[in-house]
This record gives sequence, structure tokens and C-alpha cells, in this order.
Amino acid sequence: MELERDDRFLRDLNPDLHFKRVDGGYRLTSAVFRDQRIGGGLYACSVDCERLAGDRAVSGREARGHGSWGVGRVGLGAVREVGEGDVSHNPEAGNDAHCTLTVRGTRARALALACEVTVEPTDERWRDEFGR
Amino acid sequence: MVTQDLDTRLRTLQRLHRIAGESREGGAGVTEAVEARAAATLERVWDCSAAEDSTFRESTFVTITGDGAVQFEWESEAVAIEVVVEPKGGFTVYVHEEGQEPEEWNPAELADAIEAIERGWSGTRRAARGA
Repeated sequence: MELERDDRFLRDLNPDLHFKRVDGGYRLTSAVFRDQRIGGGLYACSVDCERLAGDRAVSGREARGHGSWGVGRVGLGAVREVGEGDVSHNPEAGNDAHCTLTVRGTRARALALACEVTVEPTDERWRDEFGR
Repeated sequence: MVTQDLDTRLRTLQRLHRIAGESREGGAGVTEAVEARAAATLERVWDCSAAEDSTFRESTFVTITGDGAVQFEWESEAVAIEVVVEPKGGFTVYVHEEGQEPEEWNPAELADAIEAIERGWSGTRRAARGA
């Protein structure tokens, strides 16, 4: 399937690993996109294509046991221009929306700053530390 | 003088040990050896002169990537420094200076990683002074 420039991708946000406390709240850390090293200074992580996931995005997250996690959203343009990476459609059993996102290691922090948090974690520990 | 107070250090170290332990229980991620090296690295980072910059106060953060590396983030208004303790040995140091392309160093030894941090940090201070 051909991905489009306007496509946006959803990334599960681990309440323990992906948030950093800053003045006035939190921000995402580069670890959001530095999941697996694939060589050549690039990292890969799993995302879901929002267009394909639709309303199933949140229920899919719960089905994977990530019900208390957050969700971040990033566009293909940002991945290519900010992250110097790309996204490829890589469907998995039970998840046609699954894609693999790659990012250059030195650009992961900038891409994390460009990633929008659409759902905050509901984890109690996260609320204690980051809740506003 | 190191500006990060003991409570902050303790909280950061506790976080490191907790998420490292959880990572092992999950069957993937950081090993005990990497966890120990990460703790030692944090201690050294807290003792390096960059840590004397008050703008870095309370900004240390620990996280663990999916392939078992332990990563620290440390930032001020002018610069962000990340130190990655690689699972198979060695370190990666990223220095992101505001408005500049990020720089990356890959030292094998902790002493060289600390030197890379100091170099990145002092370069930023010189730039801030216009030198």
C-alpha cells in the first residue's frame, strides 16, 4: 500500500519510558522512536497508520495490553523532514494498520518534539508524576 | 559543586533500577551488566563539570530503549545532551545545540564518553559567550 504525505501514524507511549518532566508539564523523549537499532545510525519502531486504524486504534491498543498507555501522533512529512527517516506499511496478523517507522538516531529527539500526544496515559504512577 | 540535589539523584537512580528490573522481567531489554554500567555512568555524569551548570538542574532523565540500551537525557535552554549506554559495550553521546545540527560521538570507554559530554557542553558555553 502506498502511504501518502498526509498520513499520520500512531505510536504507543509507555508511561514509564517516554515522558520527561519539564517546567509546566512534560515532553516526549527520543526513546519514543529509538526502539530497535537497525544499523547505519537508524532506529525502527512500530506504529499504526491512522487512516487504516481508524476508530479501531484505541481498541487495538487495549487488545495489545497497552490500555493504560498513551498515544502519540506524527505525520509522514515530519518523519521524512525532521526525522530523516521513513515509514513502510508492514501489516501484522490482526493489525492491517501496522507500519514500521525509521528515524535517524541524531534526529529522534527532534521528531519526539514534533510528535503530538493525543491520549495521555491513565497509569496511576504516570498521573502522580506528570498529571497536571 | 554539583547542582543536582540528592533527592533528584536518588529518584533518578531508583527509576533506572525499577525500569531495568521490569525490562528484564518482560523478557527483553537491559541486562544486569548494562544496568550496573548505566548506574556508574550516571554517577560519573553527575560528577563531571557540565553538571555544575545550574541550568541542567533536575533535568536528568533515564529511559530504556527496546533493544536494551539505557539512555540519559540532560538539557538546558541552549543544549541537550543524551548519553546512551550500549548493551554490547560502548556509549553514544548526542549533543543537540539549539539551532545546530546534532553531533554524535561513539566512545568505547566511559572516560571518553564523559570527555565528549564536557566537550559538547563547553562548546555550547563558548558559543553562548560569542567566543
